[in-house]
Amino acid sequence: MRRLLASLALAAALCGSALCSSAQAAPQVAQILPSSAGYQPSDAVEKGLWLEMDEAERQIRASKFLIDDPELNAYVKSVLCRTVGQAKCGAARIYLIRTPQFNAAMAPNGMMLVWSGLLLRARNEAELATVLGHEFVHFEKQHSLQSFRDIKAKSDAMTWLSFVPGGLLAQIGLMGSVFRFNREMEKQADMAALDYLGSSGYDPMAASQIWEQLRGEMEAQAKANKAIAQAEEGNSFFASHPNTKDRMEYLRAAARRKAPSSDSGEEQYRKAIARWWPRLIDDQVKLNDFAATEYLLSGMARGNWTADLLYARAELYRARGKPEDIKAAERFYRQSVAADAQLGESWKGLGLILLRQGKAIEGRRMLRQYLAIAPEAGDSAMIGAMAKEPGK
Amino acid sequence: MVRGYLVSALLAALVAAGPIHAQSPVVTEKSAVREGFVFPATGEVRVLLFRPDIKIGETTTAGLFQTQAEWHGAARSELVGALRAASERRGLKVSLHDEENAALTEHRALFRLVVSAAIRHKLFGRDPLPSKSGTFDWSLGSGVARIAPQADADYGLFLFSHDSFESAGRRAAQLVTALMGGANNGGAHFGYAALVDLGSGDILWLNVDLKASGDVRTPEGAASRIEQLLAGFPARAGQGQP
Repeated sequence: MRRLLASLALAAALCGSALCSSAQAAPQVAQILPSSAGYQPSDAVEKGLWLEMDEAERQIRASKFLIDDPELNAYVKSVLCRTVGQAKCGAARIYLIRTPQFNAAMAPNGMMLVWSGLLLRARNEAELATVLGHEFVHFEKQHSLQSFRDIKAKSDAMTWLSFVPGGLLAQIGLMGSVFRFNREMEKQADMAALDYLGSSGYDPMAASQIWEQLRGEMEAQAKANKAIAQAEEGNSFFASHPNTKDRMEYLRAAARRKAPSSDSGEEQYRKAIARWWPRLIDDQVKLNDFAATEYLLSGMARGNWTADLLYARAELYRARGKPEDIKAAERFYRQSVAADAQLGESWKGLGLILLRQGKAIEGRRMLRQYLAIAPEAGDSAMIGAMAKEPGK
Repeated sequence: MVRGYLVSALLAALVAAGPIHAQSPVVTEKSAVREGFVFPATGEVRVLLFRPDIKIGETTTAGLFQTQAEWHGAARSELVGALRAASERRGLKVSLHDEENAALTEHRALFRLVVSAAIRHKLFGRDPLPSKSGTFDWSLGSGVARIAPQADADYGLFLFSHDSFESAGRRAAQLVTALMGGANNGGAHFGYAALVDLGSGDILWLNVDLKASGDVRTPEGAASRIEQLLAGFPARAGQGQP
């Protein structure tokens, strides 16, 4: 129990979209919000949380996992600013973290973490805006702080109850109410983020769509693992988030009541992450999570397999490496170079997979294609050695 | 940041696990020096103190840790001040490395991992490793040279201090627990310090104190804590303990 509480407290300190998140303490009307300029923490609990997050931020600022590309950072910031408004967005400091899972988190001191797995999964600007807006609401409404206070008060009560015969049931009730509190904050953030989509002119349907996609991915993954998809579970007593299906449904219903917009910002989103896309998909492929990655790629292709997507798919099959995968990978590499003969990485992959099947002459020829396209590549010496005809 | 919690948790678990294993009095303080290491007999000993890792706060009634920002500010300045004074007495020239950079962040993470291995497998002997029997030869590798290439120092000092004071509610609850025959955990006060060769990355000395005393928010308390954390600190060649 102690451990559970400690991990709860930790989770509460960082209110993440896929990890945490509620509020009966909604009536905070006349209070200055953290999103206003010059806001400072008020009491000991809030100051303590800020300090802890400031310390964490020192480390994150110097982390190797930080994506410090100024252009990409400026883009994500601009999406947040369009979503929540120029007046408020300055209160958030965004850090792009290179890690392939879908998540974002917001700390009470204004530090926002956006994981690169989210950038890969979002299909347009409106979907990204959904998550950024959601996290911003956690920050603005001080959900982390409320959550810590809630856990503190309830766990204190639980301690006293543990001394009383028959207090166990009440303890379990309180535990459940901690999670319910989180679910309420999540829902509040979901609905307020939808309002932000509406006020900034983004397609409000994006909010349910990103969850729909996430649910599909989780189901694909679970099916492969022969487990029950998390999305399938009921609205559990001990769940920190509303279940994905409910989220999808209430967001879709609420979006229908908003003014429709066709502005999802798909083009500009693709353009903005284009330079990073190969690295993001590479990180995903290396997770070795075949089913989820295959689902993601199919979702991105929607029947139109581009050279890039074919390359990623080929890499995925090559990595799993069952006999039939090797054949499939060879096919995808061939389709990829047919679609774009300048895609060096596909030539390299094709060469390697041919060598692996003992088709040495053709394989070496393909590797030389790669070297012709990318003579300066970091692995050119190694590939060059493999591409050399024996005895020469 | 999660790593930090892991080390704290590991240390806390060691504290908590102590009484179960112990027939003889529980060992809560241990240090180790790399075999044969002493500072040169003459010349300046220049040490770079990496910004200490300090956690200080209150234990709520249920045992949650709640950081106290004001205490933290006091503890940080008192501990650093006390360390400077203690270093002067030992004839060390200490400078503070306050800036976090990628190489330092990376090595902090590595350091935590290595230190938890050393604590687990060596210092308290809970899970001794045959390959580490009779030696203390952990190293962070020569990459440490990238942390502060410009610094005028040969050694790096890591310092970790964790203090949780019981809240009034916690004390009351602990009293009830004790009356009902349970164990009283008290507050947790522990820390460690380690000296690293800034060229080779070798850990030259490590001291862990699982039951430290002294209120680090005050000058006297911080001074006594620093003395506990520097227990077994290496000597100069040809001298005994400084």
